[in-house]
Amino acid sequence: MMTSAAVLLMLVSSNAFNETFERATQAYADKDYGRAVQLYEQLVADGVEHPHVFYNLGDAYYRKGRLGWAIANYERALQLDPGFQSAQHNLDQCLAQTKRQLARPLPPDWEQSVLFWHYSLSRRVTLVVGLVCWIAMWLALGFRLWRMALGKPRPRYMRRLAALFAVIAVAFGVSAWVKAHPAMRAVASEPLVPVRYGMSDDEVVRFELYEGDRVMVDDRRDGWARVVTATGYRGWARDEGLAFVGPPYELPPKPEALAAEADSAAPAPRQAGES
Amino acid sequence: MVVMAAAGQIAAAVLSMLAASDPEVAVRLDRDTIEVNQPFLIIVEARGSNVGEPQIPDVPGLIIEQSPRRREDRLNMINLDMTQIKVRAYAATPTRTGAIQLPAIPVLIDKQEVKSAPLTFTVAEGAPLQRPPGPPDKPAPPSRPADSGEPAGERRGLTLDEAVFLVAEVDKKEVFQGEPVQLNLSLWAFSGVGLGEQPLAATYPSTTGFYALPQVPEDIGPEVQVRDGWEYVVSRQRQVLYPTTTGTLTIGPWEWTGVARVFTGFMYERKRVARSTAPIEITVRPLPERPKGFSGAVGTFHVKAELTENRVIQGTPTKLMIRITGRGNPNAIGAPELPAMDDVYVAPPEKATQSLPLRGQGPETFERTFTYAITPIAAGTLVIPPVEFCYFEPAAAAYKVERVGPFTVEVLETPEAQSNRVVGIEARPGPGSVDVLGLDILGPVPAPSELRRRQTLPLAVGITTALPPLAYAILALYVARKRRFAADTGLARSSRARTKALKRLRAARHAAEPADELFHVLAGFVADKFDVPEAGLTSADARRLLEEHEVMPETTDNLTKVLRKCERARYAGDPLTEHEVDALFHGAAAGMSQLDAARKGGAKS
Repeated sequence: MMTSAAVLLMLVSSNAFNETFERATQAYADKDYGRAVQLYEQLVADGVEHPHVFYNLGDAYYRKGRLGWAIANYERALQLDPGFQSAQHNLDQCLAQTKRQLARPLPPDWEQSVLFWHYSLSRRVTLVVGLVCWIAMWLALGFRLWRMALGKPRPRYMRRLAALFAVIAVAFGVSAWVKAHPAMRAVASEPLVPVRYGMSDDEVVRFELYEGDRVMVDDRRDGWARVVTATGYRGWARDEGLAFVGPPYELPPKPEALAAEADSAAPAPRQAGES
Repeated sequence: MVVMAAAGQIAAAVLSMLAASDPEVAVRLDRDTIEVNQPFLIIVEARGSNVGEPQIPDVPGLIIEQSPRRREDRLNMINLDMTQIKVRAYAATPTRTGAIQLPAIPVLIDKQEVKSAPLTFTVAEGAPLQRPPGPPDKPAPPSRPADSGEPAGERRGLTLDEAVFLVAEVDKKEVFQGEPVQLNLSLWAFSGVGLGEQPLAATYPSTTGFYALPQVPEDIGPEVQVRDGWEYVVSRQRQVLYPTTTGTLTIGPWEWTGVARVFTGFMYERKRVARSTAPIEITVRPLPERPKGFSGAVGTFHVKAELTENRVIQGTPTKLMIRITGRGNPNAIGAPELPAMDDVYVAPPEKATQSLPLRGQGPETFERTFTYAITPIAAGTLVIPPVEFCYFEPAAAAYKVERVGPFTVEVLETPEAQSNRVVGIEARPGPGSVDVLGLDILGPVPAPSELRRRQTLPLAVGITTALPPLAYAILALYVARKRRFAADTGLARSSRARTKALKRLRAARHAAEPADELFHVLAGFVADKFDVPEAGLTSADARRLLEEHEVMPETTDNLTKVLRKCERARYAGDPLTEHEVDALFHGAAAGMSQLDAARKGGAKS
């Protein structure tokens, strides 16, 4: 009875999510971008994680003129599906409009070449491949054991095959885990974000980020984030000036442009999945 | 010392014997332009076998110090001819303008008086007498060495502090955030002090809070300067600093350490010299509220723009080059935004920064170029509206907007106007490809089949991960058991005894002779349990077996009792009632369960 209720609730919720998505897409089509942003953000706040949601949210933000948040959402979409070409196209378009097209902080080339599957496949594909190889490994071991039980000669290649499956399963499993817990990245979401030597507005400004500049975040404390650029410059910036790529997917502070719409709607939670 | 003096006299005697060069006295000035009240040096150079000191005459309109500011003595040997060269530099200050003749200066060379040629020079009108540049923030060097013993007010030699010192100065001490500040560092070394080729900056002053260009101070080479009538070699460095924050920023002390070769009146000595400057405080004011379109540039700028082509074919680009020249941080200058235009594709600008030669002593001048490729899509006349560049000018303490344009481009229609347009500089489509006429983001995508909440570890993943090893473990246990039974038939019989017996027991209820069948079931069970042949097993044998294996007496009695009842019914020909059969079957089942439990537990029942 409980199981049936849970399944029913899940189905009802799924339908509600799809309905919200359709309403958001319709709002976008009606050029009501503020409403579209609000509805897509509501999906994110409800814990929905899908590249299409982030992609469409990026489009809505772009139309609203919020370049930083648009870039952050395209990055989220690409993080979930690196082969999402439309997201890559739109991201490139947005980056071309940033002041200095600051490079995305990436691991070294050799690491990207060696761990090619990690950087080119989506988390879902990585997980499926890892699980298939996991099952295949146990099947190979089981087949070998069964042959032993029947008193038949053990196939020589089975152990090697099982080892191969094990290696692939571990590699893809770890990759899937890392993709589910990626290093925190952020995008400057204000026209000018000062990055200081320390966590205080009195600290000296070390450099400035322009809207759309992408950085890594290696520490967060008391409303401040320690950011690192692709060239290795490091400093502290206020959270308010950054759009964090996530997960967790943090929502922006209530946008001024959406204030009117948001006033009539329920306030969105600050962080996705908190409820 | 006596030995050294004697050696010097012997050397002088030998030199005088070997000397063969012609005695000569030459006089020159250290500069071309002499200004009134400005000290300069009269340099007398005499050469010969044995050269005495020059006799400086009095000259009207000229104050000449009798004690030379610089002394230099050298020995040259050419073709075994030894020549002594004596150079003396005397400070002189002209007190009037016009022509002044310096008469011949006599020098006693080889016991003969040799005179220089008279020298005439013109004194020009100059600035009133003033102190040459010096260390403004540095306390004045001591007027004389503490142990010199010279009376104050008299002309004297330089102390080492005065001979070698550092100067760190900035062109302004109160600036706006982002306004360039030029930091000048100089090392002043009296020309008579040999510093050799020592690096100028051992440590650079700390410039926390500033963005610096270049990153380390730039060496701009030495020059000769006269200060208080003394000739100095001045090595200079410079750096342009841009304050990145407001408030009071400090340029740290600049420190220099080197070795000076100092003439002590008798001989040259090498002395270690350490110098440092005082820190410099810069007050940085915040910029006024930034207007819309502010490029981020702070300084003085000029904007020029030009089009590479005023007449293009539809679909081919022309380039608009916007040059921003001026003094300020070039890296803070953002690209000017082109106004929106219809039927035009504008590529993102290419950027270039060029450093221009210094003008005077001000901060370095840069030129930053933004090149926009503008591709008209429609034929006709394209008017590019004026482009604005907004910057903050510190001198005026205000934001300024410079405009360039408008520009007019004549766009000619191409024969394949509507079918093939080229956009961008590099994007020339090949056969079979389409042309991109405008750039925009791609639109939204439809909803996926089913949107779900994110699950940290989906149930399916958990099951898929856990099931295979579980199944493998069960299989492994099964295989192990199977192999164990194959190796130990007694164990196999014992383990399967109860299952087998219960199966047979159910069938025995419906047999024609239930007691007979029950006896076989029970005897077979006991035989299987203890791995003995079933055939011929009697109740007495069963009791013995049970007792040998130390089965609990109660269980032994129960089982033996059932077996005996069955034997009696079997051989006595006295058929059992329905009630007795039920009791025997229950007793047999209970006995089998007790024995099975006892044996499985491994306990000696």
